[in-house]
Amino acid sequence: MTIEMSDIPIHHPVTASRVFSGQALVITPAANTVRMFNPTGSRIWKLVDGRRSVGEIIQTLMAEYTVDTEQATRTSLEFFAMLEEKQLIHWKKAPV
Amino acid sequence: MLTTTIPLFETVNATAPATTRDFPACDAEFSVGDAFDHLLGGFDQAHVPYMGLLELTHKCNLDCVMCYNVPLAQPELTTAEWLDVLEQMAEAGTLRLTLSGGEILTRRDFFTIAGHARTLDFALDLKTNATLITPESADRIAALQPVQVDISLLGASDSTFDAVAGSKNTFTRVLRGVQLLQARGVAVKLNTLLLNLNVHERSQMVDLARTLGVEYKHVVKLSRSDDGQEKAGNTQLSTDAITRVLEDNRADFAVQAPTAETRTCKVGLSSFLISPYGEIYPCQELRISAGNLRRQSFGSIWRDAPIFQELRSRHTYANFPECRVCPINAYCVGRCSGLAWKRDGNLYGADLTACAQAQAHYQQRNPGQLAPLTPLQAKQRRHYSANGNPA
Ligand code: SF4
Ligand code: SF4
Repeated sequence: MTIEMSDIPIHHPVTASRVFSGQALVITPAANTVRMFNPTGSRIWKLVDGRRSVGEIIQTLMAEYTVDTEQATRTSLEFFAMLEEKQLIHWKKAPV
Repeated sequence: MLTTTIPLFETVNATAPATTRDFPACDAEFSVGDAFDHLLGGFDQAHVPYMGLLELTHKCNLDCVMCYNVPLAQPELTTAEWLDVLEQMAEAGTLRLTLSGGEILTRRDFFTIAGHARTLDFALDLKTNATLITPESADRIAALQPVQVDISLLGASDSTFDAVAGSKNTFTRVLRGVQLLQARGVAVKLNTLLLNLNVHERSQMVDLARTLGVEYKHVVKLSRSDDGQEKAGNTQLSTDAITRVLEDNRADFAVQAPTAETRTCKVGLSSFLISPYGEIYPCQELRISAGNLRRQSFGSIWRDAPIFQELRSRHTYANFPECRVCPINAYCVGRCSGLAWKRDGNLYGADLTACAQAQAHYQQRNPGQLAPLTPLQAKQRRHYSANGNPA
């Protein structure tokens, strides 16, 4: 699906996760799989709280990292696409 | 503020580690094989309460001869209290929970508690005797997406299973429960506590697990009851029987002399147990209370309780006087401080079941040679020759 800036990512209900000292640990219990993300991926995972939109998450990253809009947007969208493909997030569409 | 540029996002995949013994902390391995192991090792060092075993109830529909639970005349935690405890544990960083009993399905609010745990992003393991599983409850268990459901297999026939579990048609009922879960894609693991009541059906149990295509493990460790009584003592396997089991298994083990810093298990480092009455203990055997959740918060008990602080700083061979000088300590892999403590109140003593296992290991590696006695066994022998053997 095409990801819109107003879309709100949510941790997928098949996952279990915590962020320990900035390191996200994401378990897919039924598949007995554990995933860990690098610090930036972990930060994004933590920002996925069911309230923030993709656009808001990117704005937060830009405030915290030395990165331009184009790169922050491209890499964030790639990461969200990967999370969706691996069934680690799903989407809440913002009300029109 | 972070000053790095955004690197490419990477993931590290790791298979969740199988627990090699009953309780998460029982395994003393500190291997750092990959990033995930490294992270787990970090939890031990930073004392993150990563794993918890929650005994939701001590009520059970079976009456197993070796059961160590002693129901108390106190109210168990209510639904609201368990939900609050879950919130506190999530806040403290707990990720993996084993929901256990008694029998979890005797609690009417089991699915309320387990469902709330999943909404708080915990990963769940469940322990059940499986006799109460119906198609409806199997659906609800599957919806929880557990990592695994652990089920006790105490025989390969109704007559043997019933003799251990103190109920009727237990084997048939357990098998039905297993199959209901498997039909819904739930990972099942069968565990057998080998006793002299069921050891004769060991190979049938192994075959059954293979036929069902489920993970299987048997153990010889036997717990005293929580109040220290040796309820099932005369059903415990003899050293010879343990030796035969180990010989048949040909399970690999490392012969490695411990150092003063060696821990025999990871008790107190990153895992804990909560009883149905809100008491926090280091593990299922070590029932030294760290505090009660009706009076203190989870975080303060985990951080400050004297028993946790003692285990973190002193639970090494340097402080185990009998084990340090034991002639076969290099063959010992199962010493349990909880069992040592239940025997005579000494957390730092030897554990007779582990002594028997170490002897069996010794004989497996040195065929034809009699294993030396451990210091505790020698002490017992001297005591019995002076005072007569109680048996
Ligand atoms: S004291 Fe015994 S039961 Fe407790 S974690 Fe150690 S080996 Fe396991
Ligand atoms: S065999 Fe017994 S005495 Fe020797 S190290 Fe193990 S528990 Fe201690």
